[in-house]
Amino acid sequence: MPRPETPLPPATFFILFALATGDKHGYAIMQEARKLSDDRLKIGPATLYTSIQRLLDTGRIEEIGGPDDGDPRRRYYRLTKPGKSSLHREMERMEAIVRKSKALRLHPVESRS
Amino acid sequence: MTGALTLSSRIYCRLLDFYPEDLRRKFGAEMAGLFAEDLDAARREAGVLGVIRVWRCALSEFLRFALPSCASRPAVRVPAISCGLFIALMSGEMALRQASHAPTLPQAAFTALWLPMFTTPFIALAAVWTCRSRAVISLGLSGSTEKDD
Repeated sequence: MPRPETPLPPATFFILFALATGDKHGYAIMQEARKLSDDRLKIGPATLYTSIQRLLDTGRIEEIGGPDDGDPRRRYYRLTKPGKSSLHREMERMEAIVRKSKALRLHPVESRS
Repeated sequence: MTGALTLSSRIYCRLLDFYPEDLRRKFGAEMAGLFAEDLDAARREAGVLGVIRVWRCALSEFLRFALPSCASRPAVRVPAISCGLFIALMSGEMALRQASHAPTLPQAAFTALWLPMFTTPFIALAAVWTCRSRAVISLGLSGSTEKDD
């Protein structure tokens, strides 16, 4: 039986999700995370960089050199292999919850019909 | 409006001084830049309401990250406890005096108690002011409220 996963904090999850679509700098990560959460995630500079620091510490993202035409003051980040598997595990966990709720007819779409 | 945005960015830079030192040292410039960029984008998108939204988010982060970090500094905790004790003592003394309609403590004893309590916060604040530019304590990312797996 697979080890039960601790849910990722929303900011961490959406940062990993945003980086799954490509390498980005801080502001682009923030914009993408907001877009992916349908503007529901209120993420500010302190939350963003605290989460980034924790993800760097745990090796789930890495700092990379920016593009040649990019702003040299910006730092760019990339999702690593452990980061990708962390994101996939979280998505599987969410999917399992939706599956269970559908089986129990508790899912909003199921209960409406 | 540009003046207001510049002022907002300056205020945010001042607030950054209260954030955990590690976070500020590594990402301070980027946090300030990101705030300014976000503020400008929000103003273009939603006007004053956008600016308010960005500030509301920044202030809620200030409460979650900066205040716990400040509270862990002895230079802030000592005056705060001292002020609290002083206020509690004064309130207690006043309440007792009103209840009994008579002085409760001899003047000398009361002075001996409240004088150190009254002066300690000012001494501590003076010490903080004197040492404000020296990084004495590394605070780490103690302001975070999120726990990772």
